[in-house]
Formats: sequence, C-alpha cells, structure tokens
Amino acid sequence: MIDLFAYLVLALSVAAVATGRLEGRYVAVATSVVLLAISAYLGLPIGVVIAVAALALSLDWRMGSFSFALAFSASAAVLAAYVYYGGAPPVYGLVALALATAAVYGLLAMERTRENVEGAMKYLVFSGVGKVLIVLGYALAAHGWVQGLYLAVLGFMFELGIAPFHAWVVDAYALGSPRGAAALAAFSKVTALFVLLTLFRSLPGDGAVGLVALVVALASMLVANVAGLTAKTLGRVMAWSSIAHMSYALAAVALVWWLGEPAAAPQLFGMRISAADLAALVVVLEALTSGLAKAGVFGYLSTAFSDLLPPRRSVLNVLNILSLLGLPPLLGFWPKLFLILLALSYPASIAAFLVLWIVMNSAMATPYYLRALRMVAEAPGPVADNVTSSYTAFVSTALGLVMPLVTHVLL
Amino acid sequence: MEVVLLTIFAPLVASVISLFSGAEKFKAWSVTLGTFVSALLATYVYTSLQPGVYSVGWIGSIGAEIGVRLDHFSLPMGVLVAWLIAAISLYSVKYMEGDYRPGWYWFFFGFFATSMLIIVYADNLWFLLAGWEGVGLASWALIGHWYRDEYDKWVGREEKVFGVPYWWAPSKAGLRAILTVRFGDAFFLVAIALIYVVANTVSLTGLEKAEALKALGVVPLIFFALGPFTKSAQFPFHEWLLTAMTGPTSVSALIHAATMVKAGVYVLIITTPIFLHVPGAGLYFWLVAVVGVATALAATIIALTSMEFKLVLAGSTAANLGIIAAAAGAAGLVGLYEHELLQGLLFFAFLHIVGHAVSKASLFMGFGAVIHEAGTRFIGEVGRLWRHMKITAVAMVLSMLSLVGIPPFVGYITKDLALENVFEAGHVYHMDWLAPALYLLLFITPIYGQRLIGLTFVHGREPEEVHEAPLLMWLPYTALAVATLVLGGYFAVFVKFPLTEALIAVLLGFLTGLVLYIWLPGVRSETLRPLWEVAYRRFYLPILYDGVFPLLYLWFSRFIYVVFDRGLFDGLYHHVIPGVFETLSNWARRLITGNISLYVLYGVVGILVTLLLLVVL
Repeated sequence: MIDLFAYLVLALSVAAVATGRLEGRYVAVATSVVLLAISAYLGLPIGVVIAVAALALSLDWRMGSFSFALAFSASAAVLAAYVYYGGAPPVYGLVALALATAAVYGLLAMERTRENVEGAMKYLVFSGVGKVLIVLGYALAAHGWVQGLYLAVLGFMFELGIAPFHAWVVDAYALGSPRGAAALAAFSKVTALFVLLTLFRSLPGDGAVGLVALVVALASMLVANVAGLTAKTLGRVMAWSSIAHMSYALAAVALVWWLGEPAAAPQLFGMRISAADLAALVVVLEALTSGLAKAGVFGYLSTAFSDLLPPRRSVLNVLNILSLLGLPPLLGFWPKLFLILLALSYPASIAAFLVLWIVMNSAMATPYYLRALRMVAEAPGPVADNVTSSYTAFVSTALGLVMPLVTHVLL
Repeated sequence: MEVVLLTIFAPLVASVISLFSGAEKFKAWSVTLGTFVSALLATYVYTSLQPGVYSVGWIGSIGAEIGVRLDHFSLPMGVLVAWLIAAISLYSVKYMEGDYRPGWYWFFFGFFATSMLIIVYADNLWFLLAGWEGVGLASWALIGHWYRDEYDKWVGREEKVFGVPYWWAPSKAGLRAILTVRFGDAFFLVAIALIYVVANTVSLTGLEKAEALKALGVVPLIFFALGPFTKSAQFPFHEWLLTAMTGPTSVSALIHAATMVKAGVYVLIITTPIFLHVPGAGLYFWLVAVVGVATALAATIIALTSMEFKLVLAGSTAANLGIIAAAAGAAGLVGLYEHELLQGLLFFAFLHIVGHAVSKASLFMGFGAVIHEAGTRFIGEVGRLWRHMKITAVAMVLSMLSLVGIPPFVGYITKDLALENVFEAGHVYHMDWLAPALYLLLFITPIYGQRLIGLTFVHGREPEEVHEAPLLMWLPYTALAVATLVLGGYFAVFVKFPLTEALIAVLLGFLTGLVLYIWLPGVRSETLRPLWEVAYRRFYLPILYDGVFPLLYLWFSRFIYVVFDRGLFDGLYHHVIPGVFETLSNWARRLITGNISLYVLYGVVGILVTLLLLVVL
C-alpha cells in the first residue's frame, strides 16, 4: 500500500517539471483529492482530515509553483499517518519527514521577502539538524543501542521546537509566509509527531531517557507559556502556542517511556486502555488540534508574514483559538484531559505534581490566547474568513463534540 | 398547643395577607382583625388552658424546639401583650391614615406582634431568640418607617454639640436601635450556646431542674444579661430608646413602652429562678439591680429636662424598666438567702410590667393625638390644651398620675411593690446608698410628670385651631386610662396595697411639681442651668455613640481598605503577580534575538544540559 504514496510522489515530481505551464492550483487540488481517495481506501480518517485541509488551503490561495510544495507536504503528512496506523516500516516515516521539511521550507519562503527567507532558513537549519539526529538515533536504536533513543529524542526536540531548542520556532512562524506557517503546523509538525509515535511503538523505551525527556518537556511548557504572555503579534503568539502544544505531546510519550505501564491501567470513558495507547492518543490529538487550528489562523492572513496584528477580522478563527486554549468541548480540550488522565494513573506523588503543573500551565496560557483572540476578532472588518478557517473551525468543533464517540470507536 | 400557636401566629398571617392588596384600609383592618383574634385567643388560653409545656422538635443538634410554656408569668403577660397590641392596632387605623407607606407599617406591625408573642410564650431559648430578633427587626423597620426623614419626624433640633449632630432622623434612629440591640444579642446568643453546652438543654422548664447548670460560671450569665440590657434600654444602652421616638407614636406606644422593651426585663424575671443555682449568681443579680437603679436615675433626669413630649415619655419608660430590672435583680439577691420568698418577689417585679405598660401605652397614644392635632412635637409650642382636647386632657391626667405612682392608681401599687424588693435587697446586703437613691428617684418622678401635663394642658400659648382627637383614637387611650384606676383597685384588693416611707417621697415630689408646674407656669433657674445643660444633653452620651464610635469604626474600615484591600490583595493580584510574570516573560522572549548563531548556541547548551540530566537522574 506504500506504493500508492510512491506513485503519488513520483507523479508530482514528474509534473513539477512542467510547473511553469501548469496552473499550480489545479495540481494542489488534484493532489488533495487523490490523498482523500487514498485515505478513504486505506481506511485512514486522519488522512481524510489532513487531505481536506490541504484542499482548503489550495482553494484559498494562489501559490503558483509552490502548490507542488503544498502537495508534497500534505502527502508526507498522510504518509506518516499511514506508516503509524498501517504498520509500515518506520523508515518510510523518516522519508516522509524529509519530504515534509523540504516542502515546508519552500512554502515558508513563498513571498520571497527578506523576512520569509530568514524564517525559512531557520526552519531548515534546525529541522535538518533534528532529522539527522532522528535518523541516526533510529538507526542506532534499531540495533539495540539505547543511546540511539536519546539521540532520536534529541532530534525530536529540535524538530518539534521544544525549549531550549525552540528559538527557531518563533522566527519561522512569525517571519515566514503565513501559508507556509499553516503548512508547517498542519503538515510538518503532524508528520514529525506521527514519526515520533512510530518510533515510540517500535523501539523499546528507556527509563532514564524518558525522565530526561519529561523534565525537558515540562520545563519547555513553562517557558513557552510564560514567554507567550507578553508576545505582541499574532505570529509570535501562535509560535509560543506551538512550542507549548508540542511540549504536552512530548510529555505524554516521555511519561510512558519513563514509568512504563502503571499498575492500574487508565480508564477512558469507562473503558480500560493501556498507558501507551493513551499517550499515543494524546499525541495524535495534539497534532490535530495544533495543526488544524494554526492552519486556520495562518490560513486567513493575506500578508507576507505574520509578525503583525491581523489586518482583517476573522470570526471563525475565534473557535480555533479557543480550541488551542483548551476550552471544552472543542478539540483542544481533549488532549489535555487525556494527558491528565494518563498522569493520574501513576503513583500519587508524581500524578499530583504532573497534574498541578499541566493545569497551571494551561491556566497561564489563557491570557495570551485571549489576546490572540482579540487580535483576530477586533481587527477591522470586513470579515476575512475563508475556506481554510471555516473548515478548520468546523473540524475543531465537530471533532471535539464527538470525541467520546470517536474514542469508543477507536478502542 | 395549636391554640397557643394560633395566638402567636395570627398577626403574622394577617400581615402577610395584608400584602395582597394595595388599599390602606384593607391592610389596616386585616392586621387589626388578626391582632384581635390573637387577643381573644390569648384570653381563652389564660382562662381555659392547663399550665404546662408543649413542644415539637426543630433543630435537634442544638436543642432547639418550637416550645411554648404556659405558667403564671406567660399567661398574664400574653393577655396583656395581645390586648395592648390589639388596642394600639385599632388606634393606628386612624393615626396612620393617609400615610405614604402603609404596607410597610402594617406588615411589620403584624410581624412584630407575632415575634413579641413568641418571646412571651417561648419555652425554648432558641425559639425565644427567634422572636427576640424578630422584634428587633420590626423595631428597626417601624422606627425608620418615615424614611423621607422630614423635620417634624426627627428627635432633636438641627444643632451640633462638639461637632456631633444632635438631631436624629428616622432612618438614623432605626439604625441606632438595631445596632445597639444586635450588640447585646451577640452576647445573648453566645450565652444561650454556652448554656446548651453545659446543661444540654435550653428549655426554660428543663433548665429549672438542671443540675449541670452549676458548672456554668457567672460570665455567661453576664453575657446573657446583655441581651435584656440592650433590649430594655438599660444604662448605658438607653440612647436608642430615646431616638426611637422618630417612629409613629403608635409604634412608640406599642414597642417602646408597652411590649418590646418589656421583653428584656421579662426574660430577666423568668430566668431568675434558673440562674439562682449558678455559683456566683450573687454578682449577676447585684449587677442587674445596680444597672437597673442607675438607669432609673439617669433616665428620670433626662425625662425631667427634655423638650419634646415623646422624649419625656421615653425617658420615663427607660426609668421604669430600670425599676423592673432592679426589682428582678433584687428578688434574685434576696432569693439567694430566702428561697421561699423568690416567687413572690418576682411576681411583684412582674406586676410593674403590667402597671407601667397600661399607663405608658395610654400616655403615648394620648400625646400622639396631641402631636397629631397640634402639629408639633416640642413642649411649649402649644399650651392650654385642656380647653380644646377635654377628653384627652382627662385621660392624660389619669394616666400620668398612675405613671408617677400616686395612690390609688395601679402605677403606684406596682411601682411600690417592685421597689419594696429593692429596698429589701438593700437592707439585706447593707447597700446603704440604695435607699437614698430610690427616694430621690421617687421625688423627681412626679415633677417631670406634672411638668409635662402642666406645660401642655394648663399653661402656655393657646393655639387657634385644635380639635379633639377622633373617636377611634381617643377610645383606646381613654379606656386604658380608666383601666389604671380599675386595675389599681383590683390589685389593692387581691394582691396588696403597699404603704411605706416611700409614699412620703412621692407625695413630696407631687407637691413640688404641683407648685412648679400646675400653679406656676414652670420655672427657670440660671444657677441650675449648667446642671440642666448636662441633663438636656443626655449626659453627652450621644457624642460617644454618634461621634466617637462611628469615627473609630470609619478609621478602622479605612485602614483595612488601604492596607489589606488596596494594598495587599489589590497590590498582589494586580501589580506584584502580573509584574513578576511580565518580567519573566520579557526575559524569556529577549533570548530570541534573531541571530541564528545564538540559537545554535542555545541548542548546544541544551544538549549539554540533557546529557547532564541523563547522567544525574
């Protein structure tokens, strides 16, 4: 089934030769539809969601030749999802990661302004370093060297932008083209998180590495939320939000690496679930939350970069930002809840500290999300909602509302 | 028991019913009907029901029950209170005609009536407290009834003494009343709680036999006494009663003469047999007696120098309450030595409640009519009213003679019997100062009474157009005035006609007053003026209550506001904590300089830190 993706990528590469002649929009739309079909065929709901996001972006924006980049990055995301859910060899996940990085780099630099290039460069450098470490780490770990896991985790910290490796995230989001930032959130980070899950499932965990990762993730949460409090432009607020969300995701996985399965398996809506599965659920939901919401927020900006106050109002992005805030019953509430449930299944002292830390961080984040909300809602009219913002807001709300049902089905 | 509960709650039901129509007449007559039903039932209870205790459970954890007690105190008290309420209700129909807030008045009238009857009949102290608080609330509501604070409803003139205003508008007077009474109620409540903790019951009949009460100290008793002291306007808590005269006169008659203020001394009387068993009770009874005598003297002096009709009567009320309290305390003191005398002495103390209530209610209603017809509250602005208000004049003379204690009126008999208690206690305990104080009291009392009558009905500036009061108004107070004579005769025959040296003091005072105010149109004395000034200014106590205490409280409240509210909490939540976060946040963001080499440096440092953590953890 991997072949499908291979054919798609090949087809795109061939078509890319004729990029000057082809209307980029049609390419992106066509790829999205194909991805939709593939996902449906493979029975991959996440793929469907990602594909439609790509479709929305391509309908909204005229990206010319960069549509190929959009197509590649979307394909990479769906591929990574398939690698995790379909049980394909992890190396394909790494391939997806590489594909996503290259594509998103291009998208970030789309407008070709000085700021764009700066943002894109920083993304490329750090993402590249991250990927090298991941590949190296995976290779070592697959051969039984536990240091490999450490290297891979380090790589993910670079890739996802966990403090203290977070500096590039701010510049990438704020200075890069908003369409690129949307793709960065929706496709690149999602790809990285699915690869993380693939490695999480295929490699044996290590207590020491898990603990270090957890500590770093918790610290990163705090740094991101505190720093975000005084961020003044939309792009920067979203950047700090991204760092925070990625820290939550890493924390979930790190916790299970550190302590393994708890004595009493955690319960979700009355059903028993293993800690590893719960952690994976947290990561997937974080990926979706962060990816979709930011795609919506960045996807409605028509400026060259997002280190400013939005020039036009958006009504539906209020829902996206509230989802990022973690307001029930929107999508963003659930990963936080599941993370807390995961923490609670461990011994009391650890659980108490973790829950307190997570709750405090979520609370601390409220002011800057509300500031972002005001930026978006109080910008001058007319309302600039587009397909992307509508679609992402819809999914954030709908998925959030039916989450209990979804988990029932999944388990 | 249902009959007793109906007696108690009929007025409240009536006042709730009165809320359902806007018509003043409906309100007035429904409540009046309710009070008459209550009065008739009280009479039935007095004549037909067996004495005893009836109760149902209420809040078990603190021993609260809805319990009524029918005994030789509550039965007559109930009849007295219920009929006075009914009579004054009838009076109010005419007196409050055309008022701008009838709904408020009539609702609280019924509410008051029920609360007072609860106090009278209650066996359980918590149930009594419910009624106690109820009369306090009703008192506030009714004193402050004329909330528009018009000048003619004030007590005092627009003048300041040492910077403190010496005028009290109804709203302020209402507050003074409730604040004073609640102050005492706090101690009262604590005392009841302590009694429950020690004796495991707060039923009055239960406490009479409680052995465990011996473990109670004298301090809870003093706390307990503070409730009655404030409620019955004993010194130094008497100020509220004087300014309570801003209320409608019917309210003054009912609440601040005949019933509510009596509740305090009534409770003192009925608890005396209980507290007798507590070690250290001697100090308690001595305190009650001394406070009573002090109140009587101070209030009498205030009554002598007041320039408003109702203030004289209010001062007189406080004085008589002091006498009853002193009588109760004295009964306790004597009872400590001679147990068998106790019930008799207490009964004498109780009798003065009846005697005074009847006389004072009549006087208040009558002078209410005077104020109503003459249009002024000040003594001396109208005079020679015997020509214009004949019936009222006669009634007032009768009631006044009863009040100041001239035989054969009931006021003489009951006051003298009550004072006999005090003389006896003074004799037994060798308190030599007591007898002269009481003689002085008995001497001054007829003087202020005759001053009031003389300056209003006999001498003074004759007005042009003043009519007699309407029938519905003069009937109640004239009936009561006649009753003072009738009851006097009844008590003389069936109880006792006292004849002691005290009568000499009274007669001397009466003669003096006759000369000064009936024969002469009053006297002024420049030499005595400083003394008069102190008395007229009510010993400058309002400066303490309206100047010093409010100032202290305001200072304290401002202190709390500046230091805690604005300083600590506001400062913490709106300056310190946000400031800290803002600083930390800005530091964190300042690291993102834009210089990629620096970012790489951060990354390297991060790697080193994680390696360190890996080794250490």
